[in-house]
Amino acid sequence: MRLAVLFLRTRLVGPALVWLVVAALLAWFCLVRYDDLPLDLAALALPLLPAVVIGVTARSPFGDVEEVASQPLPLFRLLYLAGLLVIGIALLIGAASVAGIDLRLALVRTLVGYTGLALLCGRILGHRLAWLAPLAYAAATLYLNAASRWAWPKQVPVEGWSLFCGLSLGALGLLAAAQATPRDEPDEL
Amino acid sequence: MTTLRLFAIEARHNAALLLVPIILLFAWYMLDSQLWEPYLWSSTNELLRKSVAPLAAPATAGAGAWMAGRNRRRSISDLLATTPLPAMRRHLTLVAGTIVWAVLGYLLVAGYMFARTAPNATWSGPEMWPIATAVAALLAHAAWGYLAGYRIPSRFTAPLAGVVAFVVQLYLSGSMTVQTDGTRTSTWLARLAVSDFTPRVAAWQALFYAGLTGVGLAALWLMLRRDVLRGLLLTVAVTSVVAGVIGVWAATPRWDWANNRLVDGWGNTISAEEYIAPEPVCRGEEVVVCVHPQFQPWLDRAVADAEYLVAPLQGLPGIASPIECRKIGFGTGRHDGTRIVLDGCVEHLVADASALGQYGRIENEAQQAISVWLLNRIGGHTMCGMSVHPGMGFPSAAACDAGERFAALPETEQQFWLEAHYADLRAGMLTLADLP
Repeated sequence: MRLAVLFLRTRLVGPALVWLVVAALLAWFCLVRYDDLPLDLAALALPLLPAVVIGVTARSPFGDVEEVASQPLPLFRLLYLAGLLVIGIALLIGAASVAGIDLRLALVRTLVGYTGLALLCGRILGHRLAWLAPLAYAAATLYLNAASRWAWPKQVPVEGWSLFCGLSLGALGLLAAAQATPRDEPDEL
Repeated sequence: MTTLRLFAIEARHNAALLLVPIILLFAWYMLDSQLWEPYLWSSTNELLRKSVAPLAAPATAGAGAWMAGRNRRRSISDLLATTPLPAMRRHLTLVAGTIVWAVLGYLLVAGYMFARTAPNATWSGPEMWPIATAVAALLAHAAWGYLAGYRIPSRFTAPLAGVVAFVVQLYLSGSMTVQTDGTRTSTWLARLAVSDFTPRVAAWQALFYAGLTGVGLAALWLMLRRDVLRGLLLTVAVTSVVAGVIGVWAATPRWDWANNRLVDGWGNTISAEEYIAPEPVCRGEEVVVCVHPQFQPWLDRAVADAEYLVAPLQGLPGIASPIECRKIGFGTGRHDGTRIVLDGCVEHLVADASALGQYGRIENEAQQAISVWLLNRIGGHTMCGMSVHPGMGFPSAAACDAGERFAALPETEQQFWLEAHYADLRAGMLTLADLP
């Protein structure tokens, strides 16, 4: 138990939860205040904030020390990230439900996909830079035709291909972040 | 000299260095997906702001926030405070070292686009305001990101700065309003977005972002120590931002429904001369094709296509000589390449002006069938198989079938039928039953 608590503290889980709640409140506000908001743009932009928050919290301040821990940490990492993702999903679904807009599945798909992208980017560039990949993908998708296969984050209604992309990226990202030693090199500039 | 050396060190050991390949990749992707046409200044000028800003601006904000927390992460803030260099100069050097990479990435893209367009374009020229605005916007994002990172030292600041900047730009560029006739148009707020550009608001847009940069840096300076000079600088910067916003609001054209005229924010009429198109350029002997001067690089091919289009009709009674083709379009596609679209000419070949329908389109089915045949000859869009809106000039299924049957006939039979019926066809006196 003590290990779990210490592990969560190193990942700044408290502030992360606060930011996930803030992201859900912002999503709810946007959906209620701008009821004429195009659904594809909502599906593209609203999951960005929770995804980068989850991506950034994957970083450990201890790096190599975790590699020699007596308990195997990949399971901890996986459970922690998956748990945070589930909380983020629940909050976003809650925001969309309260706003009364049928966008739940699209938001979940995009959040899972963006989180996967953030975790994969964190694995390559360091977790402080994890936000760059989902941001870049969202910016690239902005001007894409929604019918394009690459535009899965903004496809509404949700179809098989976009769901497959989101879930695959999410699964790959979680696996990469669970297995990897948290890297510090590039982001310590 | 010390500052320059420090700047070089800060630039070399800067996280924003990673942005250069990302900006270049993103620009390459955007130019490809948005089908950039390097022979047209209009395309180059439009993509100059769209190809970089949507990613570079928020990423620069994130990088600025990240770099602002570096000294604190390294626990060297106290050590640096004891150095003789003024603190603000240290911060400015770090901000400059961060910005320089994003600006360099942008200028590389702009330079490449200019170098491709300048030797080939036949009309207009480069617009410098989009570049000035984009550079000012990059500076503003970096300054505000840095300010956020300095004020709120947290692991979350950099991603939040990036996402907030992205969402704000998205909100601005998507700001729409519903007009009294039900159409949706951009509001003046959309003109504040980096990706938006109209010559009327360009200078104000640049002033707005320059002012935002000033506010970010002045606020940082004021945080280090409060005095009158720094307060004054902040006031000047805030005034620039307000002036920029008011200028953009006032310069944005809007339609005055009460008086049916285009006005600016103060109610002054915008003269129509601002929007007058240039004299078209015409080429061809048997068939004269006239286009906007910027489309000249494709004009020779268009004349050849037009001659091929008109060939079966040459010499028929009622056909003008030379035939003038003015109703043309311009299309660019991933598979078709760039070309002048002659589809609009077909309507004038098969129908007299008096025989055209409500929207200036063909409504007679026999005329539609012959136009389908002509369009198929040049690989044009026949609109067959599309959803039909009655009265909009889309060919009916029966007309499409008749057009295909006509295409299957031997050339001599086609010519014989046309010689006998062309005048009646143009007058709209035939039905599908009259076609072979």
